[in-house]
Amino acid sequence: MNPAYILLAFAAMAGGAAIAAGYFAFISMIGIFPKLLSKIQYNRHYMLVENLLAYGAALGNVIYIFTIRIPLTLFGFAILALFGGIFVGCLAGALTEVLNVFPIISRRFKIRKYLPYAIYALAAGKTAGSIVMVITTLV
Amino acid sequence: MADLLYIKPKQSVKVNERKVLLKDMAEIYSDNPDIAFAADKIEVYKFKEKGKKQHIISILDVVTTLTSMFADVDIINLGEPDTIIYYEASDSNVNVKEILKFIGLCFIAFFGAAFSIMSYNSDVNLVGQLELMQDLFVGGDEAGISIAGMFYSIGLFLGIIIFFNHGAAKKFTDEPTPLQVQLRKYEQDVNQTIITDMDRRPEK
Repeated sequence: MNPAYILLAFAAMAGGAAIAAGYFAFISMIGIFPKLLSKIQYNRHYMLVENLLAYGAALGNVIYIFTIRIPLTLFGFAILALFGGIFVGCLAGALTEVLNVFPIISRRFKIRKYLPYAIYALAAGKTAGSIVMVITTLV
Repeated sequence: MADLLYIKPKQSVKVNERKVLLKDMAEIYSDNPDIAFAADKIEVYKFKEKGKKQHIISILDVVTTLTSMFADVDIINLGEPDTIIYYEASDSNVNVKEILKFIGLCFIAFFGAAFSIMSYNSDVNLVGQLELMQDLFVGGDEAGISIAGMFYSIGLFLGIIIFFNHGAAKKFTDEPTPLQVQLRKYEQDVNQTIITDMDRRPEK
């Protein structure tokens, strides 16, 4: 067996570990799950959520890399896409929050009172953009 | 000489009884056991049957009560100036709605993580990168891609486990996990916001 394989395997493994650390540092620092967990007062189950994040990512990664076919049917696929969408939506929302967009906007424009509507508008805009993109790429 | 009373209020407490005693919200120590015993039993607030479920108690209110009760006592605060008390009636029956919400959250965590790692992989064209690396490091046939893919997956899993500091249920070290740290941080931020909000608002 070509010894170069060992080098390749080592590089790939180190890369995977580095990416995982960065990726999960991002997800946990951005604070989606602390917020969701405290909202429903299930703080004590943080470990289960972390496990689900870990195994979900590991599984998704293997499925993607090796193009493993799992017949989920249309219904299962829709469920997966729904929760994936919720997650990405939370991520996008949390990103605007971490970057302090809303505090700054509300101070500049003095619109504190109407801020909730601005957030609805933001969500509607993201949804509209997503729908437009999906339609244009599919049709 | 005046008796010393050390008091260490917490930043926030959760109570199940409507009557909140001083010892619920603070640790108390005094050289004079009579004072410590009496101070423990002081009722600082009583939640109404219906109404709001949180209340802020300033250390000044406590000091006022204590100085009116004991003529000659010096109070030394070692803790927080304001304490938030969250009231939650203790009910033992399991709330189905909460559990459903939690299951939804678990779904978001699991499928969301799977979904977004796939987005990441396709965003950086990971398979293409592995092909390139196979070409650079090994050359020739394509067997390297699946080996590299396998080890990339193992590495990714190891990275996650090391980052979160636990396997299925057992922590590797005593340190808190990242999510635990974030939870506490978020809790402190919420408490701070409630206290600041209360300070800005005129007397209700």
